[in-house]
Amino acid sequence: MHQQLFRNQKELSWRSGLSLDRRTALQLMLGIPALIFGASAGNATSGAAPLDPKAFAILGNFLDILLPKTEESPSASEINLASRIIDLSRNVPNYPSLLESGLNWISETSQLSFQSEFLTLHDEKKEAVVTAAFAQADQTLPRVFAKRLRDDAMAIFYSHPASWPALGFEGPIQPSGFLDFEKAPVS
Amino acid sequence: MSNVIIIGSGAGGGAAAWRLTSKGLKVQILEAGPSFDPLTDYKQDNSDWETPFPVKEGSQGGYIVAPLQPLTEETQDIRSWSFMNGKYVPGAFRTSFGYHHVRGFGGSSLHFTGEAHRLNPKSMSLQSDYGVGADWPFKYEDLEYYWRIAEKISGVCGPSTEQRSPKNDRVLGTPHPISYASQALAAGARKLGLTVTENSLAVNSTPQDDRADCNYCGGCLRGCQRGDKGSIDVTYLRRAMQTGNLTVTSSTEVLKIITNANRITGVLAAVDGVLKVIEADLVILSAGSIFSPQILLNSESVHSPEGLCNDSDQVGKNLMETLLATSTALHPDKLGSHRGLPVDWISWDFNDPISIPNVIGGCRFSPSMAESDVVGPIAYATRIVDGWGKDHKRNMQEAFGRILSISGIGESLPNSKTFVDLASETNSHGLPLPRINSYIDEMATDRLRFMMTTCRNILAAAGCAAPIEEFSSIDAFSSTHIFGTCRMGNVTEECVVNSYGQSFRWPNLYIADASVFPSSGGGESPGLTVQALAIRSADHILRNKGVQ
Ligand SMILES: Cc1cc2nc3c(=O)[nH]c(=O)nc-3n(C[C@H](O)[C@H](O)[C@H](O)COP(=O)(O)OP(=O)(O)OC[C@H]3O[C@@H](n4cnc5c(N)ncnc54)[C@H](O)[C@@H]3O)c2cc1C
Ligand code: SF4
Repeated sequence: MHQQLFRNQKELSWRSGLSLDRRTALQLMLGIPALIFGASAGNATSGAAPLDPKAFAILGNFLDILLPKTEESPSASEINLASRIIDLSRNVPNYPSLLESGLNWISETSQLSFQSEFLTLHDEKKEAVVTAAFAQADQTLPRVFAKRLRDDAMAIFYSHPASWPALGFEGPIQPSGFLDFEKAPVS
Repeated sequence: MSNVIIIGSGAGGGAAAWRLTSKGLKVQILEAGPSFDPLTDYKQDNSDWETPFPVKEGSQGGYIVAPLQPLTEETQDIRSWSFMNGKYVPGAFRTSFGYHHVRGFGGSSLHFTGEAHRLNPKSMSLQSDYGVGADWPFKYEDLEYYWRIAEKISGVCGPSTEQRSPKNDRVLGTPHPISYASQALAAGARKLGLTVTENSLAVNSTPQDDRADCNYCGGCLRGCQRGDKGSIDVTYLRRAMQTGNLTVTSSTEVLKIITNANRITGVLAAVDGVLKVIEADLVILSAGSIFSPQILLNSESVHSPEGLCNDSDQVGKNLMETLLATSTALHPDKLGSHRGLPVDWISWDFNDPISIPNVIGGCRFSPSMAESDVVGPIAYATRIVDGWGKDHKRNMQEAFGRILSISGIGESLPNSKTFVDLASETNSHGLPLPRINSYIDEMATDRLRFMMTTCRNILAAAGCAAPIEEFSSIDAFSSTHIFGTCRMGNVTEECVVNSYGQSFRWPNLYIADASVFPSSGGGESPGLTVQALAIRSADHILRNKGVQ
């Protein structure tokens, strides 16, 4: 089923002319570590309107697929990750339109593949749609959208103290430091 | 009017200011950047502690990097890449990731990891011994006295004996213990026959100098909230302020140094954006290796049409950059590798200029989990652990604390294609920005390959899986240690200043920063030597003024 889905998505992205130009795609890709290579965040303000309620709900569902609730750690929605993504998108050029088009793609793909709204799909099917987005060719809209959203979602989620106990991380690093640094960590 | 004006409050400016003010001279520092308040500006105690060193208004100077060289097939094996993000430089040309610096009260030391190294004496005579680079105009022994002062004032802790030093005369604080994770890396290095020693760090291992001891948070590169890291603001500048002889004017960018036919008379500066001429008896230029040559070249006048101190066309020449190779991998065991000081041990085995086979110019190796920024949960989630969903969360739990990273930093020899000149682009005052030109030559490539191979071997010997991320200067200009654009020496045709950092032509102009280095050393961190040289220059000034 998944292979079929991937093929559908490729067709969809080509048909809709959704491939991004290289510069926009590169601008929107993350992943360069800041300290060695000094990545700097864009600071242009888009002034774009926030998402409509349905798109916002799809965003929330999408993020919960990326970061679901587990026994030790909360879900994306439990820490209001979708709102944080919207805040972030206001300061990054092209981000609001990436969000809008990416979420449209999720909706259309869900309709095309499962004849249902993304919001009404069971988790397994939602996961299939998300998998499809990641599986598109480099620099296509769904892939840039999924990758960018993933990295931002991870960055926001793992800066939230609620995400740390599952890792055995007792942060933030100050004021206590790590006075046990010479010993094996307590697992 | 202040007796002395110092341009910049980093390692050079701060150390010179301390020495002069403590001997009674009135000094005014003109600092382009803002002040940083450790408690409010640094984020170590916030949930977003993983954000990089803060950028404040005016804390980054403008510069341009000229287009860099094409990348070749032959260097594919030492490119920067990550298993999650692919090649960090996907294009056909070497790319700039920046001259990393801080404009602010304390300069780039605010951002540094506190490494405090003397130079290897053998790397101070590269021209005489091996026909490359340039000799220092004095010997290791001539700088010993000043290194010792710098070690004391910046509070260096480390081993008193060291394989490279001719004498074991260092009086340092107790060395810092090596972290559990770094011990695992050290074991790998030792298996390869390398010698591992505690690093010398300007970080308090016990409370001293009215400053706390380190609590091993690992966050030095993000700015130390605790104040135990011996950055210039809490060491030299704090002491200089206590003398009552220092005035600091922040947010003041010096644009030009002004002269008459014989002497420096003052500077033109933008004070909070307003242009002002500030008169001076004597000027010490300490703006660092990129901005010092910019100021000199922008100071051209009828008295010096090619730019100040540029009669021999040497200003901006001989730029030496950071040559870095880093490899990162997962260890099978949970090591808690986010804990401990960033660079707690060092191996100097390949630091001598001819210790790398078929290459002149040495290097050093040390742990780099913090410098590679692979310590926090965000780094793991975006660079180490791929995927999403429940599997991702499980894999995060398994991976966290298992990352090990090791770096080599090597000698950077000058070449004719690596220099600073003026760009056609200008700053807000219409003056040209500095332009960095950088080129990695064959010998540097070989040195990088040796460093990368050794890093990989250390990780493998430590029991790690295959590397998952690597960085190298082969495809990225990315410099934290940068030197040499106003070389000091005895030969006017080859240098900008004499061995005391004094201009050959303008007796009341000194340069005291990393730009005066004739050679970079084999991977030593430069800060301590910048401080020692600045104190030495200050003593020369004091002697000339008849002050004891
Ligand atoms: C991330 C990082 C880690 C590092 N780690 C280490 C380490 O562990 N150990 C070590 O020894 N070194 C380290 N270094 C390098 C070290 O910080 C520098 O070598 C050292 O600070 C250089 O001293 P400097 O005086 O030449 O320049 P800086 O310290 O950069 O000081 C220059 C000062 O001049 C000011 N200035 C510039 N232009 C003007 C102008 N036009 N007008 C007025 N003021 C101006 C700047 O604002 C700045 O304050 C590190 C650097 C970085 C960035
Ligand atoms: S490791 Fe020590 S020196 Fe570094 S920031 Fe933490 S407390 Fe300061």
